[in-house]
Amino acid sequence: MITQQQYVAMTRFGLGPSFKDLQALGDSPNDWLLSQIEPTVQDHGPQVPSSRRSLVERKAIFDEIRKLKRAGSGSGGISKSSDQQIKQLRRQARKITEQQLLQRFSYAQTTNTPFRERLVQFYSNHFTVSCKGKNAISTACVGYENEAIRSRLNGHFGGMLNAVVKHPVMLTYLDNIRSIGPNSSAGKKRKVGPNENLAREILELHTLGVDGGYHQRDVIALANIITGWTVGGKRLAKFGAEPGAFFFSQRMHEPGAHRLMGKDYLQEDVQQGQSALQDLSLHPSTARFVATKLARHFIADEPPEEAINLLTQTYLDTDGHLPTLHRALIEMDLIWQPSHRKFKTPYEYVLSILRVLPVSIADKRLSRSLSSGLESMGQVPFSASSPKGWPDTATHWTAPDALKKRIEWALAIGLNSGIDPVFANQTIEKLLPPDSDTLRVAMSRAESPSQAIALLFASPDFQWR
Amino acid sequence: MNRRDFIKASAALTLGFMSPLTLSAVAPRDPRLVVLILRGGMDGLAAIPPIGDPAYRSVRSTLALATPGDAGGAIDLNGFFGLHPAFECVADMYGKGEALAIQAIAPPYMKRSHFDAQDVLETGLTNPRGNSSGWLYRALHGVDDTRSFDQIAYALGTSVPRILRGEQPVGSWAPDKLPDPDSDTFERLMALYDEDVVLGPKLQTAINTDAMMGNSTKHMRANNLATATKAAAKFLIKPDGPRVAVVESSGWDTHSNQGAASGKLARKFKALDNTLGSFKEQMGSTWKDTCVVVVTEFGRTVAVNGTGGSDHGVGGAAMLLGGGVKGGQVIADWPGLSPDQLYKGRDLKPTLDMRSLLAGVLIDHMGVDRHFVDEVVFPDHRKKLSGLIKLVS
Repeated sequence: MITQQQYVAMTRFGLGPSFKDLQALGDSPNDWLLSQIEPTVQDHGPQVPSSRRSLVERKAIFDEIRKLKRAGSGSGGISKSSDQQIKQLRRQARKITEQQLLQRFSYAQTTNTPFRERLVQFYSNHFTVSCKGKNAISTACVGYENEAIRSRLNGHFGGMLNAVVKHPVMLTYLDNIRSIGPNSSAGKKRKVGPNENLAREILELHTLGVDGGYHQRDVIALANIITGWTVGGKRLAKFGAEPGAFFFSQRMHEPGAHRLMGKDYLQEDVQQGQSALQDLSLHPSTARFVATKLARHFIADEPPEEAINLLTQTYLDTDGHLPTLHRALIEMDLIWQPSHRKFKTPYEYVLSILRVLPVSIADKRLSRSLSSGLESMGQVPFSASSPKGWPDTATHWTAPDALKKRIEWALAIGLNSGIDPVFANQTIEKLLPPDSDTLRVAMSRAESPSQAIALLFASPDFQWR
Repeated sequence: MNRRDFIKASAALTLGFMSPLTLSAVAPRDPRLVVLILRGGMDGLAAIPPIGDPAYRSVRSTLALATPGDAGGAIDLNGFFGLHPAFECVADMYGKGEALAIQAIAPPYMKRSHFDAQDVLETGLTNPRGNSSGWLYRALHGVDDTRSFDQIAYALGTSVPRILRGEQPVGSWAPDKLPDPDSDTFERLMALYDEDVVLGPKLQTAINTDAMMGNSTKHMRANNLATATKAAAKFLIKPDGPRVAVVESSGWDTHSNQGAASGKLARKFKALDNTLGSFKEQMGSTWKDTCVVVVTEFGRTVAVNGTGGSDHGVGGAAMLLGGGVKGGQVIADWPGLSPDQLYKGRDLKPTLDMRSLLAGVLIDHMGVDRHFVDEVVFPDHRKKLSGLIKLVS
């Protein structure tokens, strides 16, 4: 039987209990977690093309579709073969997205640093991008996560924020690419203005939080500050912008100083935004906001005030140094207490099941079941319904029907797993939570090894972490 | 004619007691209530354009619709307000006295965060706390129905939205592509769930739902608004089915290229209109007892932004549809669209509190006691809109 400490390390910090993790952590769960914060082997993430390449390739596919459609509209209707071609191209784009999501899942399923992977997913959700309503980014979300989140996990929150806001996928998702200062040289030519969307969500969702002390005038100021933060495409090529990459366009940038949170930003170029983001990342409201979300993710839906205070202080003392903040999590006693529990999101749930089983999602049947399962349970990656991302509380995920779907999926996977009695017995012996006698008995009495593992996956014990 | 002639002013708001007429009027109806939440901030000025406002065309510029009768023009409702041309089914209901529109309405929230605004909209409280229940959940306590909440109310979607959250679970339904487990495994599993105080009751609710619906929702698989409302109708028309349903639709946050008579937002309106038209048919003879409330968390800026869309605003619009609704009217205490009439110079000024509308529906349609609504459902609010619901004699 495993100890409470071992179980918590694997489930609350990691991605669920597994034989591999159990072997790796041995008698020192703490050291195992600490070693994942700044690992010696570099964590590259799933091997997908760069977001830049993905954006350019996707655009080429859709330019081709437009060309076919235009040719059709001239000659009185799209021909059957063009229609076939269009469908084929659309399927191609969809396939690329699906493939990337599977690679991402497979990476998380097999990683030796599950705590680190949880942190990647936490910040990826904090800085949500979603293809819902923004299909243009669908093939580049995994690239975004690698480039703006994963590669910034060993630095400061401000560094990650800067990488996120400059990232072409975020700029596209929250409508900043054509946000033009009305007094900029591009703005003066035609009647245009800034788009507030990204600026508002930076303040509300990424940094200060909705009660963080900003006003509408700050939203407008930040929107002006990041006018001209855009992505290279055909129109900007003559100004030296590279397709699919971040580009600061002085021509679109609102000139002059802007006052944000009581401070004037006098710079006239991209420095203005960088400096504003850096200051936002160091604001006490940001510290508290990030600390609260971390505490909610790792401790409980309503985290204890003392945990929030401690993390806030750590953030402020280190200017938001993420590794220090993550070490503080591990060192907090109350996080290890068995009385706290978190309900797994569907993605976490599915992942935790597939980390137990010796299966590969290269198996077509499994990958299909994975996709349709996540869709039924309401959490297809990178498709949250708003930039707020996926909720991190049990009330959102425990609707009766949703619970039933989790159970159905888990039972189907377990019953079809075809595992042998040895595997079932080892699971009962080693992977169950320490105080789960009812489950242990039910599994031992199961009519087959597959039913035993199905009962584990679908059990209430396995729904929580 | 004076524009006030078209508009029911705030005089419709009554502070008075519940009249005996209302009480007796509600009794013979077996009411059904659907709340349809449009998430993201639906552009109320695009849906219910104030075509008679002298400032309409200039302030809305590229977002303004053509005059009724012209190509792509608004559908005229009462000479002052129109309807977006995509709303053909709604216009038909309006003509038949089964739909009404409300303009310049908003939850009691004057800032511009989607998520805070939705919390206020769904809790019905001016300062929702982390664990505050939804107003519709609280209203269930006042509905004349002795069954448990998971039998009275349903959320159609993969999660229960805040509007229906509270201590006891309500029912929920979403399309299912997964196989049903064999009964032996399931029984063994149920024994395990008996011990989990949070999850046990919820699983029981899901099982009850399956038992009630049998195979009738089995083939419904697409995860979209049309499927959700179709399922809602299937639930609501059953005599032993729920009386209250919540359906959600996302993607109304039109920051860029929203279009006017055609385009992105027009397509969303069309889909919504089709859904509402089909829902009426699916409800069959129960439609006469039905009220559908269409709400959103806030409106959008009056002016077009730099990217052909609109940013978060305050005052918005709502709709009420159903055979039980006293349709054919637009309710608004119209604040005007000229720049000096706007809230902070940019948004439509809300002159109607969303809770007045919701209270009117709960009291006059669902037969919830007025005092109960005042004390429990909307404790920070005392007004109610009258004249929303047809009296049944």
